Amino acid sequence: MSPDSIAVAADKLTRTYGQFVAVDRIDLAVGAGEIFGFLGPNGAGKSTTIRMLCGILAPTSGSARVGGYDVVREPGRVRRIIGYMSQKFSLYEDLRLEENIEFFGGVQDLDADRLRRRKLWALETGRLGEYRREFTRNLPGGVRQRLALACATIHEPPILFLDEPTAGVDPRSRRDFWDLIHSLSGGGVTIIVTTHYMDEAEHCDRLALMHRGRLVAVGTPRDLKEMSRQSPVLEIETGDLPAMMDLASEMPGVLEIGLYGNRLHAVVRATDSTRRALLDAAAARNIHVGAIRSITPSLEDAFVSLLED
Amino acid sequence: MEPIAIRAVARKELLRIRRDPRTLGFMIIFPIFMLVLYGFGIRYDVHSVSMAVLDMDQSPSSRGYVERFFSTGYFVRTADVSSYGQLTSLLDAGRVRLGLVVPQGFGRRLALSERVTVQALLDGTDNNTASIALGYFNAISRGYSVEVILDRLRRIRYPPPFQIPALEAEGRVWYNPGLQSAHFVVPGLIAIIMLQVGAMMTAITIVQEKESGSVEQLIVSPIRPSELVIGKILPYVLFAMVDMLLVIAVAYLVFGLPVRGSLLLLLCMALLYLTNVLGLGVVVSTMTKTVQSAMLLAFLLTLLPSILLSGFVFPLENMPAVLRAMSLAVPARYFLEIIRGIYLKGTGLGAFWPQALFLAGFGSAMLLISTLRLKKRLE
Repeated sequence: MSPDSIAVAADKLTRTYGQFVAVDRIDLAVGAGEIFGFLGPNGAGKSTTIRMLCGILAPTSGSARVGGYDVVREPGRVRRIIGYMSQKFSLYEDLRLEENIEFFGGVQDLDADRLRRRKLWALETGRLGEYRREFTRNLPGGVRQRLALACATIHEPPILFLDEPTAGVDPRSRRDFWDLIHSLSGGGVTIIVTTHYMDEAEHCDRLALMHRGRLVAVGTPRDLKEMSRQSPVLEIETGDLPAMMDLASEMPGVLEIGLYGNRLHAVVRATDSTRRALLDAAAARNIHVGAIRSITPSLEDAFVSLLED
Repeated sequence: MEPIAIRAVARKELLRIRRDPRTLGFMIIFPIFMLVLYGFGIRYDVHSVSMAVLDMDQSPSSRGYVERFFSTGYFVRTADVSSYGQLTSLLDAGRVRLGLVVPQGFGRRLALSERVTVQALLDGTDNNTASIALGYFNAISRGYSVEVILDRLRRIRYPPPFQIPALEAEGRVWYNPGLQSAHFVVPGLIAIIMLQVGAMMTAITIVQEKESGSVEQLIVSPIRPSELVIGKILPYVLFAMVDMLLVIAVAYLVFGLPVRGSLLLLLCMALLYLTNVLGLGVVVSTMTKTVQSAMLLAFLLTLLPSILLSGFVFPLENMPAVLRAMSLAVPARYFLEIIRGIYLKGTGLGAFWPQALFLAGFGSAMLLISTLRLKKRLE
């Protein structure tokens, strides 16, 4: 990547709280126009990283540049080019929907003319028009989410940070929300997003897996799956999940067993032999087995196996 | 300074105040409520003290003496009793504050030029009322005494061959001729209400943004902390001034209290005082993270000293030296001297420029401190 095309860069970015290292020497380079995702369990350091990049939190050591500006030395310049929407984006509940948009537009110094244009854009793109006179406290979750995004992007920031933007929103609203993200990205906006929803991670151009403050792996979703390919996965359908889980976990050929919905995923050494052994053992114990098939590992499987290495 | 951003914040704040009945009530109804409560409720002057009479003489002269008490309006004849026991039980029950005992032979012994002792029993639980009532009792008795003497002299020889020397005391109370408490209370109330709106409300409203998390969005936006604070404060400046005018209007309509000095000067001094109050509010907001603690701190740091140490309720002259020294750091004290001057005496800037100077100094210091503290935005 040439320096011009790097929107966000971090160099050994670190944040500690006393003894606890929340973010541990992270190096990053996010290209302009990318959708870049941070994936990891709660407490992995995703939010802390984003908050440092936005200039809300001062790094303990290391540095970061956003749009070419140093986040510590030039916070004012950084603030003009970023949008930030957190999981608990605080809209003013006692303002009407459009009043919230006007407020955030005003805070961003939009003049009356530009504010009018951007408000129209927000109402249209976010499909918020029908709620414009509604008080924010009465809005359904999905609408609030789109309103928050509209407020965070009212000033057309070229770089957008989203910290768990869809936490607690129903799946349909989440899909709508991602449609919006894709259209922003199509317009050239760089998007940095944290999530712990695996299906959302698939929307990203590139992903960084975070665990205990460290970057475990960075790559496209496909890369990450490839990296964990060496361990094949068997998907087991069964009428008796607990019994089958016990049985599988005792089997020597099974490295890892996990519950996925109403199925079991077993990370195994060898596909065929283990599959036969599982079927035999289940038959011997009278456990009903629907099917056992070899599957392409999901991101989640990839994540688990990468963390083990 | 970005006028757009400041205007956006001020507009948002006004909209929210307008939609919150509690805030609105606090800022409009509460001051009027306080005014009426304090104006009618706090009485330093003593009127209509309930009184029981034990007249054991029942002579024309004893009745004449007792009558004196009720012609003044300071006392109300609540009961006539026939025994000492009845009198004490009335006092015990709190039914009367003063019991007057006129001994048997009052009239006869006075006629014989003998010394007569009358007794007043006073309920001292309210020491203020008791000491004032005692003063009235002494004055009435002495006045009666003097008249008896004069009467005797006249009767000995009429017309008397000599002039009777007498000192006529003619006290005139200036600035508040009727000695009405409202006159004393209203200026102080203005200082307190402005403090409540200016310090308490601004501290709360700024901390609210922190508590709700909305301050994070504002941190990542280009708005400067000073712009945010100015925008948030502006509506409260407006409300504080409106409150002041409201109190002045109600004081005039209900208590007939006019502003004797220049209203314009009063407004200017109030704005000067507001810089102190708002600065205190912002400093409090930078020291706290939750609305609860902001309210508590604002109360302890601004409201309490302003009520106790400003001379609003308790005269500073009567305080111990330590408290008097502490009062020197309370802006409300200076504003109170200024506003009482303008309001009641009609004095001009010449009479209180040192106080105005202090307010200007304290206000600048507060604004400086709050700007410095606001700069530390990164955790």
